[in-house]
Amino acid sequence: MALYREGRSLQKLPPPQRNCDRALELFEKSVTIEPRFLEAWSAGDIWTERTFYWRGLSRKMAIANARMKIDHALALDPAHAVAVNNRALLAM
Amino acid sequence: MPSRSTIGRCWQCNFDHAPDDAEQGLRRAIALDPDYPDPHINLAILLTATGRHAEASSEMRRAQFLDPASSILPPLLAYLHLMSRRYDDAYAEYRAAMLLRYGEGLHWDMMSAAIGASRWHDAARSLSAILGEPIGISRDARNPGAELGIHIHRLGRQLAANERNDVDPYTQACFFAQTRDADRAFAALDRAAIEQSMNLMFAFVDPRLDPIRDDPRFADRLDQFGLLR
Repeated sequence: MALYREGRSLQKLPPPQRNCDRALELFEKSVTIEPRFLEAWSAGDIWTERTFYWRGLSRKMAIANARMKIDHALALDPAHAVAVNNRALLAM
Repeated sequence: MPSRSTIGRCWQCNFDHAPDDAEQGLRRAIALDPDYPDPHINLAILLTATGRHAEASSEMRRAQFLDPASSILPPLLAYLHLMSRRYDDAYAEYRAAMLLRYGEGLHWDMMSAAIGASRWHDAARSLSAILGEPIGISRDARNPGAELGIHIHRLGRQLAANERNDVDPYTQACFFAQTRDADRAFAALDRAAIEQSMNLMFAFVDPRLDPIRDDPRFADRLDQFGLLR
């Protein structure tokens, strides 16, 4: 939980200090320790956000990563609002 | 040159390209957690892209209420204002986003908002940032828009001379459309489809594309991209 919270706080910072790569590392560590930690899986919203801004092959990778994280989260809880939101975003 | 069907497929494999499913999912996310701001933001994006601006504005207001300190809202709100032709509001939000030290890329859309609002001197400031050199419009210019236009066409020549630049092709398409260079605008739209530019979803409503909207090629592209409604 501490890793997750630290990751979320890094993700929420304004642009100059925001560090999504480090946040993702912390979320990955969280799910390695606790594979059923739903909140950390749903933190794939960083990847979903990147699908908006990245281009070309990087964007394809972001979409693939986002789908994988979202599918994991929805498998754990089909009614998890963050995962449902992210899945809907990829349906656009 | 890629074929029409290739361009269409490139864009459509982007996301699932199922806006009705997306809207249904976002409304479900809101029902599951009404205090979660993200589905309101995403719904606002979707509604804006489909021309439902009043509903989009309501969703954005809800998102702002739920997360007033959000750092992602100002540039997004600015863009949605630009898409709904509220240029003064868009310009104000772009200024707010600049205070949050968003990147130089915002200057392109900020310039469009300023031009839409006939804020020629503000547009010149954005243009200066894009060109990397000061652009001056005299305070007592009789036709500041025309004076700015000379510099904007210079930027167009620079872009045309170097198509392998870092500017998002959709933004280039808008720029070329605004400068009445339809051929380059359509070529840039095709590049945007191939590069899977997310902004392409706004082509249906984007006021910057108005100068090429009556060109038969425009309806053709909307059809290819699955954006005809």
